Amino acid sequence: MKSQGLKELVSNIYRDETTKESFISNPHSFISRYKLTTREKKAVLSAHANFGLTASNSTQLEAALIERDIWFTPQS
Amino acid sequence: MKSNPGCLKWVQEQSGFLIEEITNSLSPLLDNAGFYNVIQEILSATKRATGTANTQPPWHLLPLIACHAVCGGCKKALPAAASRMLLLAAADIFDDLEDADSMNTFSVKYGTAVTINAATTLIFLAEKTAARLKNRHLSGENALKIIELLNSTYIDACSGQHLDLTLKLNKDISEEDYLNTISLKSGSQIEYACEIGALSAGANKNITEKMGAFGHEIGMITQIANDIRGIIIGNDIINRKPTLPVIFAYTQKVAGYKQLGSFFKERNHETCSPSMIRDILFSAGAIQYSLVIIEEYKQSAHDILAALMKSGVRTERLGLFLK
Repeated sequence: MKSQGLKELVSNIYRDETTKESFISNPHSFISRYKLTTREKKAVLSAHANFGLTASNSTQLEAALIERDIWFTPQS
Repeated sequence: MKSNPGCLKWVQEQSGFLIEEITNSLSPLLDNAGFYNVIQEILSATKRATGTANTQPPWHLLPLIACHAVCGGCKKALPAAASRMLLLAAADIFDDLEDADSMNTFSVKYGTAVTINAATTLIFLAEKTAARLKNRHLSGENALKIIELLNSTYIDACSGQHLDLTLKLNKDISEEDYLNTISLKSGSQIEYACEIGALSAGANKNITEKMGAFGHEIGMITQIANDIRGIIIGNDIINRKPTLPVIFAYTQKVAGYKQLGSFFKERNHETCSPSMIRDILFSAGAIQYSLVIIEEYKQSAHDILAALMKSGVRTERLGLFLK
């Protein structure tokens, strides 16, 4: 069962711009206020690092979700 | 530039072996050319059985990749991998019949009766193909476990399909409902593919279970990512699929959740359009939440992979499924 703390954290981030800015300015400090497992904390930070805070029609998100050709091309 | 453990040549080579095994499994039909050609046509569709050579990620090769990870070779897993592809082809055909709204399906061309007959035959060809495990010198115990997993592949897919078809956005819906559904529909499929490969290689119980757990996590990741794409493209909104972003927004009573409920429950376009629904989901953080859940499953999969590597399993190709 996913914790309510995780749901509340994400809901609150998106509730208003002030809270969103608070998260962006110091994500570690922000998430420390919520009851999250270590894995949940890491997941929140990873999602933010990889995608930022997703907005509508995010081309970055669309690009990230496209299956990339990593099987047939040499890795750098 | 690092060498690529994936590489086109290796994937095409293994795909060739798998296609050969699948083709050999059709031998009971050789005296009935018309029927043989119908079955071949089903199997050669893109991403299905013999049409998979350039598919990536190469999900069709997962049993072979898992086998190679354990024992350094792939051929022991060929009968199991071929059997699995035949079962998945059958499931795909039945899925098209259940959807009943696509014009580009086999049943539109050949009719329902021929289609059902062909899909039924694929199931029993899969059973016969699995029996060829005896030719790969597996232990009797492992061969039976593989056959059991192959049957579970199909049963769980059907079970998951039932949940998927009946899952509705209502006051009682929960994230657990969604996760249970995709665990059966998607997680278990990849889980069993990895376990089948590990057992074919003669892996012990600990490694087989870990391989299955890894497969389950990447199956979940893939399905949630697909569901996010379904929101971005819009087809899952139009089809009223209660996926994770929708359930998050609805159960968290975010701004616009009433329009969400009205749209999904009452098929009401008057108060809200699909693009407005997409905006509600993005604005509420529903997509972000789904991405966080994906990251959780990724962490779990990485931890399992690390444990497998410690046990001497070659994890390079398995790791590519996580990228």
